[in-house]
Amino acid sequence: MFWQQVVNGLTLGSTYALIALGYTLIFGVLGIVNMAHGEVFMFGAFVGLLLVTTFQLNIFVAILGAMIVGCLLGVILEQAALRPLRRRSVSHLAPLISTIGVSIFLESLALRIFGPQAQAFPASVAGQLLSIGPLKISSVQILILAVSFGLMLILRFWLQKTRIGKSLRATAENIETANLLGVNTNKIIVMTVALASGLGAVAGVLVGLAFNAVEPTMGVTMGFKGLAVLIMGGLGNVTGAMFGGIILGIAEVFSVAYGSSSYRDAVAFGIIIIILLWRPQGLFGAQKGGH
Amino acid sequence: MILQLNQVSKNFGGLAALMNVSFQVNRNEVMGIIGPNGAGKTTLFNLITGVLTPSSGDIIYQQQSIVGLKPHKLTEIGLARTFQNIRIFGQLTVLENVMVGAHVRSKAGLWHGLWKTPFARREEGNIKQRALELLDFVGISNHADDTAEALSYGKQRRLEIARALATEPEILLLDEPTAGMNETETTELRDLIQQIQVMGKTILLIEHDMHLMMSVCDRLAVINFGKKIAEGQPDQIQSDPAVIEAYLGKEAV
Amino acid sequence: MDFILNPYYLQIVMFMAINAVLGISIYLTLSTGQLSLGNAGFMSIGAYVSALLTIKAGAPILVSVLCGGVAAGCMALLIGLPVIRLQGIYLAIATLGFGEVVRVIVLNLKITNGALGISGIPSMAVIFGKQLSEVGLSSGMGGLTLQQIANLLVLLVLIAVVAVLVFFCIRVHNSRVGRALAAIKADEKAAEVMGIDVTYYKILMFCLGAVVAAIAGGLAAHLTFYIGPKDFAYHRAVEILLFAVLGGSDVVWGPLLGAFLLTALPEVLRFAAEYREMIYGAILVVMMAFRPQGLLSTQTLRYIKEKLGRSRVNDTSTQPG
Repeated sequence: MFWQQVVNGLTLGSTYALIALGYTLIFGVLGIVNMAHGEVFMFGAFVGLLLVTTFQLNIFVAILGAMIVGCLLGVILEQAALRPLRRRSVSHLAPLISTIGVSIFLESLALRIFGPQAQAFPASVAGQLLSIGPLKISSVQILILAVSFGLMLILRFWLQKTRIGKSLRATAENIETANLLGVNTNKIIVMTVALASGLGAVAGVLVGLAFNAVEPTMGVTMGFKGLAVLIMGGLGNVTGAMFGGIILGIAEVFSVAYGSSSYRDAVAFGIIIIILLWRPQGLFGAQKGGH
Repeated sequence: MILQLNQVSKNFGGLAALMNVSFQVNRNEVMGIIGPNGAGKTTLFNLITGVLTPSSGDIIYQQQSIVGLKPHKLTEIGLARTFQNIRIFGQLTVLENVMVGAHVRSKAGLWHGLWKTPFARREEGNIKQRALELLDFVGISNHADDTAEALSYGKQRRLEIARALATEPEILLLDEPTAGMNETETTELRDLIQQIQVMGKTILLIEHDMHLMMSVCDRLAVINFGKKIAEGQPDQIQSDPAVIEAYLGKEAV
Repeated sequence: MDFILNPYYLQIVMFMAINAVLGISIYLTLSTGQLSLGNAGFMSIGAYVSALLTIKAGAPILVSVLCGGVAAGCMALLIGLPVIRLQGIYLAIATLGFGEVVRVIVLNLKITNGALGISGIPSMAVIFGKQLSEVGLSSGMGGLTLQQIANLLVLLVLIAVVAVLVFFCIRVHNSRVGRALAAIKADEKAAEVMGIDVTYYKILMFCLGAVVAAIAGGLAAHLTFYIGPKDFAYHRAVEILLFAVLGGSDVVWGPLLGAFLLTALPEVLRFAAEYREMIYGAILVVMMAFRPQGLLSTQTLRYIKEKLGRSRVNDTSTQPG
């Protein structure tokens, strides 16, 4: 029972980590919290669903398709809601408010296009249950774990080793210095938002598979979870987001298994509040207060 | 003696920004702190104004340790400061900026403000009167109703000084007040500092401009690499070999 | 008069007043430069506390609404003390989290009736009607039916609440405290160095904002006779913020204008009713890009005053003798 819960928590947590990575990448480079990330995630889930149901495509192709649409949404988001604010000096709260605007716009758009009811992936995708000793693990869970951990590893490698990854980190370090060093920071910013949104969209498909439900309001709920992980891991901290996501996933699964399921959604925010009061820099952040 | 630093040190991580710095400021004198860039002047200033807390040592203001007091408490007991990079309240009018300075010397709370009690009216009247006088004193009273951000750079500096004076300080700490000023403005500022001294205030000054420091300060302390290397009257400092070597450098030799 | 007696329009005007109160609540919090997304949470505390007091304890509406305000105020103080030292983004997320926690708790408590919400809250109009018929006005007065008189009374009460709050805000704005708040909003650090106890004022305004939001919640509960957890979710928090973003948060008239416009919009434009949330989202994005200070800023107000002053001068000068 205990290990079963750990596996379930790990699966859930890896998707949270994927969502939080999107938040943390954008925060790292731009210093803002993208409140529309949850809605990009939700659109990704719908795109994946459509590709599997209407277009009868393979789930891997659907994930790729969702990622591409997510990236496009990211580019649009950057152009519409973030770039105009960078041209002039505005309050640091302006991007937060602006992306809140995008978030409710996208949610309501999804309600119009897809309708309010939850939709499920076809049974063929859900796959069968495998037994490893006492553990039961579905092929969907394996898929989720493989895709999210795979993407996280690729992202880490990419940030550390590649030229663009290094420019991105330089921009995150200090945007002016990066500019002086010849980094095209505008390009890096668009790329970061696109990449973060792409990851978010993939997470959307995975979560849709995990819960076997895709609905317009999932953006807000899961966006909040991602925010919780962002705070837990420390703003802009990639490693923190990965571990934070897994911790939240496991905490939630255990609170349902051994506590009350109805309070599950409060776990994330309970964690946020405790972390903010106790360690505002996040569990994995360096000793530095909120700025 | 109004302010005294006893063996004050400050470390950032493993780096020592200030090491065992001691000096004192006497009542009604203009005390200057000089030193090359990165010598620790700003750190010293931040320690005195409560922005940072010292790693060791003590800062005594009028027989009382002020280490660990919050900035607004320091203002309450009589320390006021200006900022190196001007920090006026840009959207407020010039007059309102100075009136904010009087906050700490006034009392009318929510209740008085809400009912415009005779007490609140009288107090507001006094604050306004005093603020106008201060604007007059620093020479920008004709701008009283302009928004502060519309002022020229030099006038914003004067506004900052007026605002600091409105807190009725015993000691006024000026952080590079002539930064970005031209020669005329600098001379005018020197006169202003001397007038503030005549008012009976004590002034602690950090500045790059050596001519200004030599002409306006009663005493100087020289900081280099986080240590105090000399202290004394301007002419003593000017002839101190350690200072010449460390600060005035090659050109003076 | 017919216009205002039409129950449909009457209701819109009542919602305008409620939204105006909500706008004032976010104005108060924003007056120290704090972005709180928790006002929907405080509103729900006010709504539930007052509704339950009226239903279960039979308390008079005035008492129960005030109790709701006090409860939210205490809650704000409790979470404000640790949360206020957080700045900017952190505060926004923490207060958003608070709102969610409140929602989940409301969803799970027995006394709040979970997701079903509370219905059958005695509405102000009905209660006023009863009291009026007790004093012998059951057949109406001056050509108005009892129901119409009661509705007008409710409207009067709401307008009075808004007027009192506006008075409060303007008086505070023009006082020593208001100056301190403006200084904190402009530059928190400099304000503290000038001797202003920044933490005290931030907590004060955070709590006042919470109390006002809770009063709006209490009043709203006694208008609609039903409240549920969905009424106070994320969308409500965004809507409250929108009043201040659209109208502006420099002066109290800003959020009032925002509340007025946004309540009227769906009624005036059918298309706007259908795409309401999308329009809200677009407004937030467009305002931030082109006019982050909102429609009414200090400068706009100054400009309007000058214009008015000048035209008045012209008027008097053209008058003979």
